[in-house]
Amino acid sequence: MFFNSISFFVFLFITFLLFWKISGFSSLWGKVVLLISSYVFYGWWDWRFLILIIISSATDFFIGQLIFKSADKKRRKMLLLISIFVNIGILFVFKYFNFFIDSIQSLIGVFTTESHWSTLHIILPVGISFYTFQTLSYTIDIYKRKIEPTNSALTFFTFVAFFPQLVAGPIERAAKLIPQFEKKPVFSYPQATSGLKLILWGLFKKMVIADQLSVIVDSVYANPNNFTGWGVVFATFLFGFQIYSDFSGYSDIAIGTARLFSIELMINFRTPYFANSFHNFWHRWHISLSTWFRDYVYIPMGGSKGNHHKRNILITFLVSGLWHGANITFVLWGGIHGLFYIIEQQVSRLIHINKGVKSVSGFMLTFILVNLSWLFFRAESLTHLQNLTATIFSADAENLTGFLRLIFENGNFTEQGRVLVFVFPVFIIIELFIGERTFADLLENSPKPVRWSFYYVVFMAILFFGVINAAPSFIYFQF
Amino acid sequence: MKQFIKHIVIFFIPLFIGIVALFLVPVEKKFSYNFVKGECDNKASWIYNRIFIDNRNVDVVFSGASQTGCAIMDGLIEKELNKKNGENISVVNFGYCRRGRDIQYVMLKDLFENKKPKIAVIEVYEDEPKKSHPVFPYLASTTDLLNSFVLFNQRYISNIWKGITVRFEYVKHLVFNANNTSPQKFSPFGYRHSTRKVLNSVLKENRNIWEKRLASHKNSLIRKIELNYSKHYLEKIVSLAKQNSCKILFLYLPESGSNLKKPLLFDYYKSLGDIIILPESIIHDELNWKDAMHFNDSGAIKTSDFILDKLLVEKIK
Repeated sequence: MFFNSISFFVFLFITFLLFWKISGFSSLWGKVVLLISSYVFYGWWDWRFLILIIISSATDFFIGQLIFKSADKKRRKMLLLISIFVNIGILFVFKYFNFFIDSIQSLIGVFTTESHWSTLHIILPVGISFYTFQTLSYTIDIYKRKIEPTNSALTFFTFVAFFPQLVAGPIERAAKLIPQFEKKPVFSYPQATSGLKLILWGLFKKMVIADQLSVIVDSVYANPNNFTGWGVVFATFLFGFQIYSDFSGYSDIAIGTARLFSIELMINFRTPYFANSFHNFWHRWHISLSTWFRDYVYIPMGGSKGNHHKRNILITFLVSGLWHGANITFVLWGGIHGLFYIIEQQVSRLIHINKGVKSVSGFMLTFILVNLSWLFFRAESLTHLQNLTATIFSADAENLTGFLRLIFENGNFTEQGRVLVFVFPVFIIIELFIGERTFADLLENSPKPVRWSFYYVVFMAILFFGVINAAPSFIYFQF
Repeated sequence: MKQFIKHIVIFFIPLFIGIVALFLVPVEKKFSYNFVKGECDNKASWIYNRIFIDNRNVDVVFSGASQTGCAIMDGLIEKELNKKNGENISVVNFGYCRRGRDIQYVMLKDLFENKKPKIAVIEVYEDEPKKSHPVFPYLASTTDLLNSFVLFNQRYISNIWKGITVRFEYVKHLVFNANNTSPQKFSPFGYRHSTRKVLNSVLKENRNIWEKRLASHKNSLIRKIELNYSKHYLEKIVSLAKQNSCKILFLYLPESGSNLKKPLLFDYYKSLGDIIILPESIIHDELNWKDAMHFNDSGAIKTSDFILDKLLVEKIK
């Protein structure tokens, strides 16, 4: 059930009405509604996925209790290791097993041709990386005595499975989310309307920007040889905006949907392409994941203390790359970001220039490098990556005809061309206005007719420019 | 909460008005037939061209699903009819992928409004389809779409949604003047040629499916309700033909493994028109099938030859 489908909105409408009707009598039963609807939402893809999420939730609920009750250091550590083993084990089997087998086979294949290990024929459960990290942080935080476990299995299971953020985050922390489930929900008009505004903007970003740009990007990436270097470079930059609109659009819908149930989720994106450094970029892009890696990987390794600062950064980024997918291209993407991050730290210490100049040049450099690095992220394999880079550096790099045909054909703009030329610039301007706030805060002091007219325009833009039929699924669902 | 719901309702009022207005916009036939291009070998575009653009009359029309598309060589029948009758008779195969009486009704209605067919050969299967055709809402006029609320059209709601979609796409087409109905080259006939031969295992599997299907019995009331939608449209087709002085013939095209010598609703069809039953020598010859449900060229030649004899006795011109 995708957020941009009619079935989701029917589901949301029913859940919303049921939740507030039942919560009026009992907050406990309201939570039951949320848990059941979350399982319905998740089971919609494949009911078998529910088995994994229930195993993961039950493991961490009980282990969390046991860690908290135990005073014995060794026992606490052992329990934490069991939790990590179960969660990472599930993730490994379902997401990385085949990747590692293939990688080892390729490595062995360099020396011998007689290695044929069988891989597993399994499907990747939607959003497994997200809820695994969320539930894992719960036991780690209890182990570190940062939080106390909840005594309510219902609350904990709802925390893990809460449908707005179940399949693609934001990856929430127990300390923030569980208390919200434990208190009696109170309907707030400003919160609910801001939720609707975020849903509207999220749909715009997904259906108009991401899905239309994806048509251009997919055409180029599917047959890079039909295009020239500049075509691939442009497509890569467009992919940067596609993935941003896709994922931040998803996050907006998730946050907006949660607000309808009086739940506040963390902001996941703060217009990251306006960042003036890599450091700044990673404070604005997929914030819930980057802070997760900071707290549970980077800092436990020693963080910025000691002599291994650079190593810690690099490992964190490599693991972050691997988290995105079982493919060497994701690891390379993470590694490149790690290297840029380290180089930036070193260079910025040496350069002493005017703050404004530094900020502008930093913005331009970050924007170009971040977007070019999407080439690694979007490439399907190393061979594909080689093919793409070969095209970029090919001799006829100045010819853009093939690429332009995707935008303008037979004397008319294509559907995607219309969006790119007329809607995309307006989108960038709106994003500029939003800045580090959210869409819900935009025009908050304007009179109602202005606000409503603006929302109608966005709504009509979705209808007229969006991909309404057979919209591709959200990119981050695969992670 | 009340204020929240009130504001949502107010916000969406213009949208509902817009949807109602959409249903008042008459969608150009050219647009709707071309809207479904990309499926069934663009047969809808071909049918549009044959009805609305091609100047030739249509004397004999074959209407049905892909089974008709793969069984009737309209070119061959036309050539032989003309040779034997010495007249200029035009034959078309309107077999459109997947079963559904409603789409056949819509296409025939458009045909009768533009041409004067004398004979309509309607495909029948072992049993009547239970559901609306998925392409019906894209081609149906607003009246036909809204009137398809017949007990029991399981797809009524999704059909209305599709109807909104196609109308909205039409408005977009008008606004942007989108060039999605570019001229195409059309073959003169609608037969779907294939030289492929079915695997024996596929035929066997189909036989097993049919054995199971025929062994299971459904409650007669449920069956009556399920069949009502198709029967409703079949009767509308018959009535439409009568109004246009067109003779109705039914052609029974069974699957390879059903082994049913006549359709389950034989008596019902008989009350509406004559039924052509293919000889078993055609059906039981494995070389005539491209898969378990469709004839290949060999089967189509034999079927067309057989039907030709039936048509020769009819007065077409």
